[in-house]
Amino acid sequence: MNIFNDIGTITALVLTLAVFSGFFKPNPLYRFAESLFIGVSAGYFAVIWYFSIIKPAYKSAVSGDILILIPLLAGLLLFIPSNSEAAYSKLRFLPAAFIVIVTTAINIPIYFSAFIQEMIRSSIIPLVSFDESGNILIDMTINAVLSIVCITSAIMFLVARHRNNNRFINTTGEIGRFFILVAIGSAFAYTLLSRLILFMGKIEFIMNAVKMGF
Amino acid sequence: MRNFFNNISTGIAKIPQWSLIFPILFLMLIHYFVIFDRNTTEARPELNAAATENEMQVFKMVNELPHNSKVLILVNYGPESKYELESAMSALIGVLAEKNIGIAFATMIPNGVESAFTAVEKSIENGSFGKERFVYGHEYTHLGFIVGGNIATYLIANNFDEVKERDIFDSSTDIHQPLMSEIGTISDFSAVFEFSSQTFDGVPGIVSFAVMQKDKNVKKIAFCSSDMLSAYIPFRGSLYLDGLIGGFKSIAVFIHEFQPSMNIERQYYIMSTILFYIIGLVIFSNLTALTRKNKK
Repeated sequence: MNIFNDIGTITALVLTLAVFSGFFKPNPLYRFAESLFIGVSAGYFAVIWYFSIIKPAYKSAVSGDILILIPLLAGLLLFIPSNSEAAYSKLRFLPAAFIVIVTTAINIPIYFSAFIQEMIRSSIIPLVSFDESGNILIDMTINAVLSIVCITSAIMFLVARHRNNNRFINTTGEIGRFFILVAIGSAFAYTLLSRLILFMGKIEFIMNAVKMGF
Repeated sequence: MRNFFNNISTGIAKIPQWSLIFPILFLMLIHYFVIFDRNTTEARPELNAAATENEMQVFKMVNELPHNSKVLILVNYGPESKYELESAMSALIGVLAEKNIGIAFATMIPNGVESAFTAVEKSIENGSFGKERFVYGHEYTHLGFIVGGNIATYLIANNFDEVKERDIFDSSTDIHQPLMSEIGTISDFSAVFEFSSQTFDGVPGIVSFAVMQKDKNVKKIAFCSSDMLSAYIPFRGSLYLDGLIGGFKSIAVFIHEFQPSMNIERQYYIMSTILFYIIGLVIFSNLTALTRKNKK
């Protein structure tokens, strides 16, 4: 018997049931569990950020790496009040601009390469797939053709549909709208499934705790 | 006859939608106590899901990893996906440990710090290898939380020397860890795995990493939770992903293949049954809403 494991299991069980009690209506037990969760999360993140960012930066500064003071100064500049009339107040834009520029510079190649170039390439190449003995793989080929239809019609819907009266473009746009809705529906279904799996895990935990007498 | 249907329709309309959760809970408990118990002791349920071509490719890659090599595992999930991803990760750890493959863990989300350690513990509990055979610093290490989202992926891909300087316990990896002393750049790893339940700026972490890292020789394999599947699927056949295990079904198939003792069939069976109920619930719930509208 491990007393720490037992206490941990009982605490987890009580808190899980407290959170589930919110299904019926908010009650003091639920509010306690909710506040505890928020408090513990805030504490956890504070510790993580401290040990991941502040402490290493402090150690670097102490050991003579004064370059670390530049991001520190940049961070402090962000705290200049936006309504300040002082001449130096414009300096607050410098770190903000730096963040925007660096993030954009990092993200543009990723987005262009991953979402435009490679995603389209991988969707339609090869257009016709063959197995090892040279026969056409019907499902893969249909998949590639369907991908072309999806991509083209979705782009048509998003870009060109509202700017003209061409019947072909409008019809294609409608097909694209259908595919976009299917994609959104699938994303929603996956999210629901994931939450269900999480819920199932908690139910299983309760069952195990009850079965094993904690 | 018409009155009969009218009565049914009125009855359904009176049922509050929120109360429909109770039949599900009830059926779930029945399944857990009756069917699951019977299945675990006598007839273990079959995993009615065959591996797809894509999953087979991942199996092949994992099997072909050379003995005594090193791999990097990016642990980008927290407690929210523990149930789904932890079992897969501990199964993978088991396979790697059996082949004496060194593992370096790193995380790009604060929630992921603990996930690697709990998966290692679970893997040891599963019993495919002993704790004494899996020593921190020798067989595995944790490089901690690497701050910056996509910028962190850039660091990992291009400046790995900087990332691996110190581990999560602030010890110098070069001095204290034989495992990391042989690692200079990212290319020294035989493969990079990502276990993910979130994207960074809308891009899967492993895809971002692959874009940044130009060396195509390092295999990149992603494991993602069900709700992240739609973010990963488009890259399945791309140059950025060499393999994808996404969603509960794929994960169940993976665990079934590599860690049969974990008894994933039971979870998968319950899961698919519950999903069946959920579909029924959604239909019934919509029916009540429709009937209510008609009554108005």
